[in-house]
Amino acid sequence: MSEPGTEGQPIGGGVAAIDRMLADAEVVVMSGPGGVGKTTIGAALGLRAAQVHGRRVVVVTVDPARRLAEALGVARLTEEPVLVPVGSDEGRLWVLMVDMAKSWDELVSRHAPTDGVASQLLANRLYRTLTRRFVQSHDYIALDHLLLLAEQDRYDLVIVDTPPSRHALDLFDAPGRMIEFFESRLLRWLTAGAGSGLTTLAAKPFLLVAERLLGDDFLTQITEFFTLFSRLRPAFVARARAVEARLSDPSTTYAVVTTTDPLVAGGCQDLIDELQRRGLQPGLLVANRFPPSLRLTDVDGVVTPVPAVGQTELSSVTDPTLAEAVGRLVDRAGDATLPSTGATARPVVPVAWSAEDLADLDGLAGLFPDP
Amino acid sequence: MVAGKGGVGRTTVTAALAARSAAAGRRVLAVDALGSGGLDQLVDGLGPQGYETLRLTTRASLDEYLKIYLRLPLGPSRLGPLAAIFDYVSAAAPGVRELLVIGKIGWEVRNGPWDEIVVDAPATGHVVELLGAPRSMAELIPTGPLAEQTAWLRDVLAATTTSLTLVTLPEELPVTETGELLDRIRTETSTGVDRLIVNRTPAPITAAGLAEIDRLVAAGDPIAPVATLAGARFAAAEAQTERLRRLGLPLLPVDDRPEDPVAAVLDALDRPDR
Repeated sequence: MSEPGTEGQPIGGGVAAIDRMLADAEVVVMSGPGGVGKTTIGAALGLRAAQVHGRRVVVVTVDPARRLAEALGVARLTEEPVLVPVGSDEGRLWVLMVDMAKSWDELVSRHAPTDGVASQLLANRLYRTLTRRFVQSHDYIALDHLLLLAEQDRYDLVIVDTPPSRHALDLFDAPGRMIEFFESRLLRWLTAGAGSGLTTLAAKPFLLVAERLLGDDFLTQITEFFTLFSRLRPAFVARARAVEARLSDPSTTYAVVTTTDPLVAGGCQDLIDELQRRGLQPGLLVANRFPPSLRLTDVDGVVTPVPAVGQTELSSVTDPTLAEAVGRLVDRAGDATLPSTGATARPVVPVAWSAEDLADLDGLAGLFPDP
Repeated sequence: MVAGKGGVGRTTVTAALAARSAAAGRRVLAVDALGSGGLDQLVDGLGPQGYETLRLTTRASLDEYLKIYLRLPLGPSRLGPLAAIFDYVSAAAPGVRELLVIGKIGWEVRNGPWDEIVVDAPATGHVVELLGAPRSMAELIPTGPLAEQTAWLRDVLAATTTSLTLVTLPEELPVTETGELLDRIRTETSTGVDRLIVNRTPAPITAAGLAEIDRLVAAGDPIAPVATLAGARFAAAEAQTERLRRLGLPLLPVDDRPEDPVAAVLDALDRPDR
């Protein structure tokens, strides 16, 4: 796919670049637009870290396809880490799937100042709906898990898949939003009068409107939810800050997954720009589903996909239906593009597009063939 | 409502469905329920399309909801702090956002001048939350004006005039996820699914064409790797389309034509053998 570049290195850095990352990263956050194969690439990275680098790796998935569990040779992914038989003496690979509702309940139990506060909050109707029904509450939990696992001595490397967010960057805002929520005047304002049976004068017009809108019973639930939740504030804020610190720690690497499809690459570019605006640097760009009709070139440090075949090669196909199918792939190669990582060039590693299913661990390992 | 996993061409299908109905003389509203601007961008590239587009954002939906929908006797100044509260609540509690979005769509169904509304719904699981928002809210808020509104919304979503078009690709993962999404829609919502659009279906290759791939590989022809991929894509698409057929929905395969994906959907919709 890539021709030899300077110093015999493949253009983009190749699997050697992946090996450099896997040798010493402590946390790898998988990032990228939906549908590019983040979960699979994350699992393949974990497998290589265990098999080739002898590291103790845990891969955290949020919404895995059943096929991934099958390819890993485990019956079912659970919230308890499952050991994957990787066939390495030193290396270990665990995979776990985050159970959102359970994780929220544990988080609340951990952060609550008393058992009473915890049990009341766990029973609150608003709390239960928010943590069980709505995907956005999953962003924070995925990151909390990351920290939970990174803190354990049992693992050298944590690879975390990111939930399918409305916008991929929602995830990185989650800790900040949590802090903002707890430190907002709104929360204090809403809960100032609670407990005494009186409401602050300022909150009164709001409560009148809210009561009219939402009904009396729900208002009681809201007030109870906010009041109880505010008691978790010191622990929650400290934790969210620790999560934020971990995200920007140099030992945390962002592996951005894209394809060469112009639309996907465009979405991925927005994501990289947003990451960099937050001072987070992509450590690696994985160009998934890289077709054999493309190869990478390096023009002044910018790695770009260019067509590897053209009309000349196409002319050796005689069957009209095959010529049509191959011709479309060749045409598409002309539009292929990859996002730019900005001023600092990052490794770009293509993963060959095979259109075959990943049947087992060997198939997964084959995504990153040895250089 | 057009739903499916991210990256399968949902927005393209939305634009094509809206354009087709508009061309037939219907008054059509195309809604970008994500507020992402993706639909606007696509429509800009299409030229005059004969239908209107609406991009939903939380704040705009909230204003509509409070001022028109619930007929709240409040001026804009009184809405200020309430809107701020809703901003927080909808960031921390996205169910509110879902309810506002679906509420606005429901309002357009009931009060707008439209013959048809086509919604580019959020990706995969989010659509279940969107459709389930009135039900979730009803569990949370059993009484009051909001509860009455959600009851009405649930009727709109369960009506036979509301239906889902699922979009997928003839590839393993999207097909698996489509099956899972369909299960969730059938168990967690009351909205019917009426068809499955199989986007970017690769062109068929005849037996002679497939045999030629082997010859090219044996000869070490430079085009052989690309021909092998073309063959594998076709074989995978056949197998995956067969899996989709078992879901028991009418299938509409759309040609893989990256240079004009909207036209590819329109051609598929117009194909006489449907």
